[in-house]
Amino acid sequence: MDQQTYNAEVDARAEQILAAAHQRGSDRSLWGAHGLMPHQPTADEIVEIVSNHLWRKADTPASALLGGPFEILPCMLLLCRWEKELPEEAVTLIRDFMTQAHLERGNTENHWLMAYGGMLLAAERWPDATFTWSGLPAEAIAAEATRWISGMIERTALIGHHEYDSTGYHIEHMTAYIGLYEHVKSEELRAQIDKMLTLLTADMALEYFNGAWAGGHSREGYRQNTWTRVGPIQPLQYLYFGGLEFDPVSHAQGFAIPSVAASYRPPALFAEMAWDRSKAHVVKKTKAPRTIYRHAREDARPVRKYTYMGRSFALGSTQVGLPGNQAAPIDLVSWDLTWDGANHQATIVCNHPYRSPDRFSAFLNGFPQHIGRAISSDKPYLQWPDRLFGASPYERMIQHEGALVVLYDIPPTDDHPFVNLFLPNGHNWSEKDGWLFADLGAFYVGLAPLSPYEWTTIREANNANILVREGDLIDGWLLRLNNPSTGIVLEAVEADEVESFAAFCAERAALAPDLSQWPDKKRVTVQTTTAHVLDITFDGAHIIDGAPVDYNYPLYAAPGVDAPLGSGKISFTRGADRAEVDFAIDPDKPLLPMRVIG
Amino acid sequence: MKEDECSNWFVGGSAAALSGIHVVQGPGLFTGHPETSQWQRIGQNQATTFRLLRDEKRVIMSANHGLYAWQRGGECWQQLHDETLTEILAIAFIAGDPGVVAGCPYGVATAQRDELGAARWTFYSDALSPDERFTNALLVDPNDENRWLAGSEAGLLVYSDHGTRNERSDLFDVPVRALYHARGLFWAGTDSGGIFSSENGLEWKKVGGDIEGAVYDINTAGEHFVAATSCGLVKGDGQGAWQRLGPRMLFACVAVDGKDPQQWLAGATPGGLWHTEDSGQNWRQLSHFKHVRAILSPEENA
Repeated sequence: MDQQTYNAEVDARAEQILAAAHQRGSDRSLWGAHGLMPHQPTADEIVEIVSNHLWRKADTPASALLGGPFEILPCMLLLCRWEKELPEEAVTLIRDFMTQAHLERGNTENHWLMAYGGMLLAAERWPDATFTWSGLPAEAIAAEATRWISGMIERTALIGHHEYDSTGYHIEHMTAYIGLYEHVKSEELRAQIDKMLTLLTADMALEYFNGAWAGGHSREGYRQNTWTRVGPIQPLQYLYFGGLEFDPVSHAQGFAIPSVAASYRPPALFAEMAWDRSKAHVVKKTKAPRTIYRHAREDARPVRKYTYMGRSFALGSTQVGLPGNQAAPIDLVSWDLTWDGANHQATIVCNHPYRSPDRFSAFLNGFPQHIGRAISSDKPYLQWPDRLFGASPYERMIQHEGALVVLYDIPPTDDHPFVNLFLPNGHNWSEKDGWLFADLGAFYVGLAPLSPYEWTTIREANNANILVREGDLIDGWLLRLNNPSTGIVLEAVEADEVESFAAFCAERAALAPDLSQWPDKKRVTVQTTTAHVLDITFDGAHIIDGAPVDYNYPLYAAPGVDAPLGSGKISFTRGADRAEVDFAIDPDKPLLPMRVIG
Repeated sequence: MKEDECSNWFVGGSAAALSGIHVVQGPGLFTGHPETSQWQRIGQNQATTFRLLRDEKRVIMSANHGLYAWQRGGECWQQLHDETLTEILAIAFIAGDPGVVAGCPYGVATAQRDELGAARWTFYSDALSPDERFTNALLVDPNDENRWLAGSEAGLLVYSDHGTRNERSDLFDVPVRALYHARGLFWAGTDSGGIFSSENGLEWKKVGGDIEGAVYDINTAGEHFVAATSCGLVKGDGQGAWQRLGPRMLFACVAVDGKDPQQWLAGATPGGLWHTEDSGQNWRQLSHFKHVRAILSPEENA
């Protein structure tokens, strides 16, 4: 598809999304108001939106407010795009907020990006204003923001995105960069942002699977990682990749609306990459190390992702590179099996619900003696024994195409010395010789828990203060692997590549995992039905077909992608189409240090 | 703040049970007096305070998301952080402008002003391990301004030559969260084992026996030491056993009125602000605060 045709299709979908936001009334926020503005709202309506969002019902002057990234960016994006249409009172409110309220950056990459992005736009727009939250001149505020944004772009181009592939937070990155791309005055920064957007769109496309984002994620929490399609990134997936029936609920979520209203269009080839299911292939990615700043004697290593993009399913896993026994980011998801299906019915994932309070103080600065209760007061589900997301320091894995081995070596003294395995409950499972099998139509899956398990259910709901009536958050089978030394072996195959489901079950069950050295020597060897051998030793060698696995991945490895690590030069090719970016980074320039968590 | 408020107490804390970027009004630095317990925010800054410093010209506030200076008699805060400095847990005065050495989870750093007047920070800890970098407390050697004691998550490190060199003390393999200098000695509070003292900052010995819980702050009240711990406050003479005082909660800080050493304010997180007028025999909780992490007593010559 040529770029012009693609742009026209994106334009049409953008209109569809904005119209849905307007019809559903979700255009009454700073994020969503971009969908309201074409409908000539009254001045009072606009002022109410701005006031409600920035003042949040507080009856105070702007100087008494506390503002964070979720106010700073959207108010500036609304102002920059619609300044001519905004009533003067709304402009004054935004200016007062941006100059007089106490503004804070937060503590994650998306926080700092939104904050610095909005601060930069404000400093450019009002160069002579007094920014009382800073006390520095606008020029200094703009310079600091520019240094950080440029530094993050360069880090991403060289060593990979930090808050990587997050179904929850990728949208905040995209919306901030798109807003800056459209409104920032510096042409030099704008050019780098354009290239950054190419990488972030590529991240979305390379593991896109029928509306889902397959594989590992830096952040996919909030008890939604068993959903088929997850998170506020969905509007942008729909906008840029199309191909799905439009859903006015999931495709018109607020954080995306400023991006939907924008004129930025990514290279057309990413939509074709996203939807190409013609041939199975492997996607590899390198991502930046996690920020683990306490309870660790060494720094985290780079993240290495491996995702097998099959024709009917996607299986992704992660070498998380975490240091030490308290390093366990709270909403990291290291692996899952994804396919197309109804919600709750198209994901398999397992997790050790690691619970030590030290996991919080490993990346948050609160006192270790208090932080466990402090965090769980705000987010109690982070401590729940049924948790299906969040990193565990006691998890290791190896993958080859559609086969995966995940091992857990949990200290028996751990609060939760077991593993939770989620299985969809809308399929007919069968059992043979310790293997559980499901015929999922276009493909078959078999998995073997490596220890005895208890088969039960999990149902969690958004509105669960008295009774869980509907498992709208989580609804499925929960297999609790009640052993601190456990794991699973999983293999998925395309249905048309084997004789029959029965034949696959028989062949798979006949190839029992070699557990003769597990758990004593921490080694498991598994032969796949496709004649490969996966050999993993916990905290030891990873061997496939007799050869050590080389995890020194490039920035990206996939068909048509050339992206050496540390070069800042990346090209994406599909047929005659090519998207190429060269960030022109001085190799001798030190990286901007990472000062955010995630 | 038109008039100098340093004749009053400064309290860095929050009236809310939670703080941060998701609330419309947050914490900040407040001034007032325990008798009235009327607390007025200084300026508009709503940062979550960790440490406070004061000299004849400025009050410096280190906070969760930044470092700020208040010119005494001025009207607004000025940020001292840049894009590399955040979560500032420890500060100490040094010469120059901005004249502060800062400690944070990412290490120890000093700054210089750039051509736009912004503080630009240089870190001295990048080669260390994460636990060694994570700096909870800082103390400048009163005999050598270029020598800094750093209480880290790994133990006590001594930076010398303005941060360009560092070495481990023998107080190691235990988090150090409090540093103090009095009676010609250095004093350190740890996560386990209590309080230690040292003549040179490198060799330490335990004083006064065991203390339950972690020690977050050390101060002097007349002839006594008083310390804030995770299990309440303790008092001692620096040699004999420590005596536990007051309610049992995580006290992050304790400050003593220089003019009246029997009058203390202690900050708990959670637990708020507590006041004693008789060296810890009787305590009352003051209104307004849920969390307090830093307190400055009234300036003695104010």
